[in-house]
Amino acid sequence: MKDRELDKKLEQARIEADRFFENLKFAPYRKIVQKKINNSSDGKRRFQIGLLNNKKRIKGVAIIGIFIFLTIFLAPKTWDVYRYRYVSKQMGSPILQQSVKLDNRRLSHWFNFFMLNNPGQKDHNLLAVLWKMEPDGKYKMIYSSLLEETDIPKPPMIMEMPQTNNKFILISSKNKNKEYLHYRLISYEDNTIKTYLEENFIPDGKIEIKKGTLLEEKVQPDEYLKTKSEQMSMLRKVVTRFVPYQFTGDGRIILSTNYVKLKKGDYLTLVGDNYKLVQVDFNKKLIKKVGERTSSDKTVQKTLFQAVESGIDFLKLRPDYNDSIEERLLIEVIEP
Amino acid sequence: MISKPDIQKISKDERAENLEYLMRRFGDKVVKLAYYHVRDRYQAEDIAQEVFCKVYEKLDSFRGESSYYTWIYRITVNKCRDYLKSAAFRRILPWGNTRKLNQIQNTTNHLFEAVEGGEVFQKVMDLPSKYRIVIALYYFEELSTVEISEILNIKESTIRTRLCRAREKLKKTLSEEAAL
Repeated sequence: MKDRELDKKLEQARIEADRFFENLKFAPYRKIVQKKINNSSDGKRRFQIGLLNNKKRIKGVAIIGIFIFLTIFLAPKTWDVYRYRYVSKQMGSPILQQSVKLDNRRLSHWFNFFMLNNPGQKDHNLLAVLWKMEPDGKYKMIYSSLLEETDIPKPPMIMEMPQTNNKFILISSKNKNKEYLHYRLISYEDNTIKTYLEENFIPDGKIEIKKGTLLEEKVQPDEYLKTKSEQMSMLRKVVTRFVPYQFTGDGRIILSTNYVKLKKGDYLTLVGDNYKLVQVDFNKKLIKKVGERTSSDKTVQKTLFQAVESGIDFLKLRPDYNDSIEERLLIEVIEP
Repeated sequence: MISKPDIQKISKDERAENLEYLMRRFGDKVVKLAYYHVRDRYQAEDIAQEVFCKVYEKLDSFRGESSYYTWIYRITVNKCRDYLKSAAFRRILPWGNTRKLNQIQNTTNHLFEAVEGGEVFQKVMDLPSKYRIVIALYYFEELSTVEISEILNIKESTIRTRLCRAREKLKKTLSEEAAL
């Protein structure tokens, strides 16, 4: 890429940044700041007056301070804290965290990665945990998954399903040295979590949400095992785009996107609910079906295709129970 | 350079009035700067509030050696650095083994909220923080390298180097993107 092209991209980024920050204004917080200042200066003044004008009060405060200090260090609860500290060291290191916006409430969901080591081993495992705030303000764990022998947690990414409030969450982590990837794709719908994809040890893998699809890149596992690390960059990458689908309450099918662009040789995987069967019609000149899998708990269906010839056409999904309902996915295949 | 209201030795009401002026003038910019550091909108908003509480506290001691703009920005940068070092950011519990976290300190830049907004903006925000911040201040906030060096308290030559490296990194990322 040339400098001029980059400058254009940066100009585009500036416009995108302006658009993003339009929703991030300080104005609503001005009153809060004034209030905080008023509260703290009133409190400070009262405290200062009390201290300066009454030496007895200083003694009283000192005695209370010593009492609190002793209570903290001698109370049985304190020992519990120490015991917890010891146990938490044994468990593994916490944590990195971020808020995840899954509904309209602020800070209603939090996501953590916990470091969790096997006893006596140096390999790091990461425990991904999603928390939801209950009406009483306490957090409850609604999803957790262990990503073994990884040390680079990636921020979770959110993909919204059109026409609904449903969301998909992509959780992933990498191993820095061995360069493999684990990832999970889970859906969040009406406070319910469902796992759509759970992939581990993807060699030299990359995953991201892009234009309503999940874009996965990896090298073939057998090629990866035969190759020395310095030759890794020479390996052919296998690109797969995952398109999730779900059923709405009234029986319609919704897709995460209505358009997918593939290069010849790339893979397309439809991944969706298995409790209602779906028929898929497609142009066999453009793509070929290479497989079909059902998750071990039989709740998720995956249908795999490979792009074979350049062109453009619709792939049609119809529920088994009513073939008058149809959802279309426009597929464009281009030369690599 | 921004014109300054006279705030030396002033009454509480005047101080509040001046704070209001500074919040109106710099509030959005402070939120943005905090966001470039922490990449969490709620945290950025909280940091911005803390910044203006600090500004109010220190209004009397501000000696006008720099512009308000640089002064407030520097407070913001310090607050963000404090936050990124803090237990609240690194750990939920106030105890625990932090040593292992140091092993992954290079990855902490990734541990932020996924950025909403356009694709190129997101690529910029995915850069390591030392590159992300200079790119954001230079190209999005249109500050000069001298101003950035004052705000971040880093030599101007370092800022220039970081800008160059950040551009190279971005070029690489965007080229890879285009190839897909």
